[in-house]
Amino acid sequence: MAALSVVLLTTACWSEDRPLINSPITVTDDAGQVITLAAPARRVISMIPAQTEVVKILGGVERLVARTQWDKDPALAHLPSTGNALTPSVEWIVGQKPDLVIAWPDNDGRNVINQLRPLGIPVYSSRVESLAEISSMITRLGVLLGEPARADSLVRAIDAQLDSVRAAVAGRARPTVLYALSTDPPMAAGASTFVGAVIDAAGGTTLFADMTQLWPQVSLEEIVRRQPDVIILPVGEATSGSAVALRKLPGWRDLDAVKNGRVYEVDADLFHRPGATVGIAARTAASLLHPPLQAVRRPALQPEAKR
Amino acid sequence: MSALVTRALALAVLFAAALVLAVGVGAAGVPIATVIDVLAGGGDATARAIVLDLRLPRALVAILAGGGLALSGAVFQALLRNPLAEPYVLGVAGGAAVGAVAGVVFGVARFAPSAVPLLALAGALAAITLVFTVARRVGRALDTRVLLLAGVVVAAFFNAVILLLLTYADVESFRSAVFWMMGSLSGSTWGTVVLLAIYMIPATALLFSQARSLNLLAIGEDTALYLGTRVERVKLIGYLVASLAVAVAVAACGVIGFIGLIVPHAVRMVWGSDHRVLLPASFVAGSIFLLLADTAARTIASPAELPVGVITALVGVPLFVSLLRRSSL
Repeated sequence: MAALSVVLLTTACWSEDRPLINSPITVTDDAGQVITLAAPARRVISMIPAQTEVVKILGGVERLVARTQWDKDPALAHLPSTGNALTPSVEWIVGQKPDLVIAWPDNDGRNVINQLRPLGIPVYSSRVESLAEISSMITRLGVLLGEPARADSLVRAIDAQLDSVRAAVAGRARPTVLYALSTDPPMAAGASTFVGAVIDAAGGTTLFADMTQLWPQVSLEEIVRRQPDVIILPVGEATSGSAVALRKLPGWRDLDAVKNGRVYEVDADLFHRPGATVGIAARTAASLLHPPLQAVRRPALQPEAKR
Repeated sequence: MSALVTRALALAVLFAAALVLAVGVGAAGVPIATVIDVLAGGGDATARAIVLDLRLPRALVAILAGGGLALSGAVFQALLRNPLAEPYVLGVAGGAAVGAVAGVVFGVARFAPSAVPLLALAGALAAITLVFTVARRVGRALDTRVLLLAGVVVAAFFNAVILLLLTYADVESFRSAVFWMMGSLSGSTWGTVVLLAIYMIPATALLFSQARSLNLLAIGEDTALYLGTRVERVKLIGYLVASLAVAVAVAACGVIGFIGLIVPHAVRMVWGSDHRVLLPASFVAGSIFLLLADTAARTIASPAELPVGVITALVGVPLFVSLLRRSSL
């Protein structure tokens, strides 16, 4: 989170004399719906953690009316929680009179979005998977919050972070990376996921880049055949196992990456939330994929990284 | 007879209380005076939206779906003469789930959200057709055992289809599909109420009219036949109408378990097994049970909601066990 405060500082200079936009605000969301607000959103209910964080950075905690159980930021702890964000109470949301609700696009007819829209509550459905979509999401939330300048500077700060990571790994050999969302059954990050994009920026190649699925379930046999240079395990809201446990698991323990101690645990919250912290995620990944880089960053997450 | 009247009155009072609770209580904490004001035509826009567009249709869906599921359960238990029979025993839920999940996974729902319940209904109808075709092929008449087996086999097949579809689903579709299969009343709108009412009301009347025949069938198919019941006709009407009621309920609110199994048994323990009483009482008791379960699901974890199936099982099972201890099946 230290690096996030850097982002906050770089954006803070814009907050002093931000323009008050009073003309109608129009934005198209990721489901193709046009959202029109009469004024910048002041009472926001976000059901997606990464987007919640962006709202907090751009508009401040005071614009948030609720959080989800996944938001562990102490600054949000005082807000009521809508639980897992998949089954919030619609009537509670209506009762809060929000002027913007940010929700997952849902493919099902019987969901929150389809209930809130007819009642006149603006819903922005957000789907972010690629790095470009992060910028686009931040820019559009900036418009909805009446903070376009802050959004621009946040996007530029993230771009700068990513560029510096890309510059640091440029010209180095690109290790193949198995990002194991789950080890039993093995589930890998596909190249078209956010995680795949972070690995790419960090100078790695996802092991199952040839598969089109976002999170393909793969066979252990195929992992053994492909021999990843590096294995990354998320730990936190979705824990797929530990580096220590992997050394004892049949099949896994014979992988070169395991024998060479190139198994790393990362914070699942950081790697599974495409948003303002993507630069930090990329830098973390780069330091794991290219060990000499760790000299120029904060201490490694894992003792194994110090090989 | 006076005992019957007392019990009917008790059920009516419980029903009224459950309905008042469902409309009066919720996560938004609208004061009861405001709720009354809204029902009388007043109140501000937010309170009106909460009471009239969210709570009221949801309560009506609970009444129709809960009643329909319990009634179907009672009919299946009578026809199959099997205490384990429940609304989903003939594979209706599996078929409905395949329809809905396919709609979600193939993106149909993205362009036409209202298509999901219709696809679920189509899937349920496909399941019913398949089960009855299999049962007809195997036996000359509708053999209970063959029908049960056909239901189990068809359900297993549909289950495999769902798992296959989910394997290739993206994250959003997966989430929507699983959420759909858990069963919830949270998507209830006036459209859902209309969809349910169009079928459920005539179906309920038709099933009530079969009560006498079901009483005779309960003694045995041969006896019923000798006593002048057109056994095959009663069975066909019962299976088809009850299956369709389940299909419509599942299309409206996903798969909600336990009501159809437990409520008819509970009513039978308290009221006896005269279907002229059992069927209407099961419907009303099912309505009350789902109204209360959904009110609990909406409020306990507020402002989040619990899956209503969790409540129906968590509360229903201990209730059922205590009834079971006091009487015998």
